[in-house]
Amino acid sequence: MHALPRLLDRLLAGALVVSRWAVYAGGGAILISAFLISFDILSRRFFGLSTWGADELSYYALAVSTSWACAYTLLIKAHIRIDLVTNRVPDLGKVVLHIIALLGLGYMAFATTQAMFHVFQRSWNRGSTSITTLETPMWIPQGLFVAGLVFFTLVTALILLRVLAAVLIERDYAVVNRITGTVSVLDETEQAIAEAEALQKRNG
Amino acid sequence: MLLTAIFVLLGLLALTIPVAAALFILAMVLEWEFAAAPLSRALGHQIWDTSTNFILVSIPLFILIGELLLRSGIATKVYDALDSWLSWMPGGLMHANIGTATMFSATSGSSVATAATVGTIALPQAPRFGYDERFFAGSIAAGGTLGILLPPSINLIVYGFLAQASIPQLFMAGIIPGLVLSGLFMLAILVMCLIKPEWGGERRKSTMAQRFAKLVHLVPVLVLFGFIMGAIYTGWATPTEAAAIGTVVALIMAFMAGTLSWKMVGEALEGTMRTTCMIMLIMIAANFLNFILASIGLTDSLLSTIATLDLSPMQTLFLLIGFYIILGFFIETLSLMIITIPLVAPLITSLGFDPVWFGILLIVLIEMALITPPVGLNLFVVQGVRKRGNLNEVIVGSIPFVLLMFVMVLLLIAFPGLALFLPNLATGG
Repeated sequence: MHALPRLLDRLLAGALVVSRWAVYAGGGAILISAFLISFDILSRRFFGLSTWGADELSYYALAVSTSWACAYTLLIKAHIRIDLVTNRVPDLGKVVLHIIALLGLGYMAFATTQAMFHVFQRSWNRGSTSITTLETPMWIPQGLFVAGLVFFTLVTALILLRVLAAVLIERDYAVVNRITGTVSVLDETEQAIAEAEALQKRNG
Repeated sequence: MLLTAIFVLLGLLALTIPVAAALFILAMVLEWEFAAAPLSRALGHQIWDTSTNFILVSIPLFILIGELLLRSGIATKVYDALDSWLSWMPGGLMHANIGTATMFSATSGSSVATAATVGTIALPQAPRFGYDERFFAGSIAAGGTLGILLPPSINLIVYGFLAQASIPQLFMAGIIPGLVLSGLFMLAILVMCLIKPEWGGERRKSTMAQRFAKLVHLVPVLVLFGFIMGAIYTGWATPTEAAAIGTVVALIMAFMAGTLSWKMVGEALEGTMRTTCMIMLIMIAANFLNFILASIGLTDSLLSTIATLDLSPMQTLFLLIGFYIILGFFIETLSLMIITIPLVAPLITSLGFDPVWFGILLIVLIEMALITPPVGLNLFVVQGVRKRGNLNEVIVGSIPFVLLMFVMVLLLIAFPGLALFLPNLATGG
């Protein structure tokens, strides 16, 4: 009976690992972009070279790293929700709100994935390239972007399934709050504080 | 149409649907209900255009600069240096609180991070030197809000993008009001500690030699800030390009401070992506909503509705200010900005106000929201770092600063030049 929740837990744990690596990779791409743009502007200003497309690579990095970070942001509950009522309703109400919130986010994830897939598909069929010096085949950045959105949609669905399993099979509302729910303002500030204090210690 | 939109949005937010999804669903509902031709075909291109906007690349870069600097340990040295320069005045270390917050906000895009950093350094000093803890905590909470007014500011980038106002001009426009507000804070501390000397705590004097020796600690932040703003001001680089070079410089500074490590960079990148994704997802939805609102004519309908109210532009402006102050009590500040800008920005322009000037005014109102209960993030941060007394003390200590922010709003209305002088100078207008 509890095999399904355990399986979903394992999948979620796996998704967290994958999404964390995606975040490091995306952050790394942003950091590399910083170097490329710096190099580009310095070579332009001081050596009169023309731009070769660092800006273009950097905005692909922004798009792809964003779409791949969405799942992580969801897993650590960092997507902003206006949370004026959840603390004032009974547990069952909270669970219902969490499910509605997940459905809402899931709808956005699915609709954006679908819309972007059409854009990607058209670029692929037509062999579109960017109208820049790089002539980037558009399906490459768009494909990576869509893949991140697909991952986001799958993770949203996975969390939703896990919540439903908790409600219908385990009948345990506490699990729901652990998996989804809002990060209360207190959690959020606690994290900022813990980080600041750890730094104070480390840097003396 | 307008009422439908407002009710749907409030309903979605009340169901605690994430802000990005709420804006997105609202756009879809409006399109389905009111659009003559299906607009959602444009969705894919809208998403891609927002996601690959070069100006928005500056968001992760500025966040990364802030993350790197906060983790580099430079803040402690800045506080120490400002302490030696400012603590002789009545109010002592509280001036260093404001000063450090001012310097850090100039490089970090986040108010919460600024308040947490200054708080961890400064708060242990309050009981040691006998300060009034309420006022001391208030000075940190308020000082931390300067982060979003002084450039580079993520909130200004978000505003500029959604209101189609020039981000370099917004950055220029934030400087004088940011410094004036910071000066007002210090003046208030000075005056209040002259009236009530027991609030002030023990003053310490440093010799000029000590002061100059510590001046060197201010150099990194000033250089970084001066470089970023100078490059943007002279048109040498766009905000994104300046942010890119700033990121490289921040890495070098962390290296020279001996605090650069893989772990530190990893943490900084994780924090950067978390915030970036949260903002970008809302931006993608907000920009799509912007497009739908304009396409179905809701923006025009709002403008004509306001016109029938027969209010003068000034009355409308004060109505808006009241509206932001009330919403600011309850709604998380970045969401508040993004939700309202698509409707408010066209209104402001149609009333004949300068969108750059209004951006600065809006940011001061948002700063106020950060230190007003029940949802005032900086209050929670400061109380959390303090670990003694209760939140009410921080709230009480912040009241003088909230009032000063309101004074700043009035000053901006009376003297728009405070915001517009520098941008006009730069464009020669």
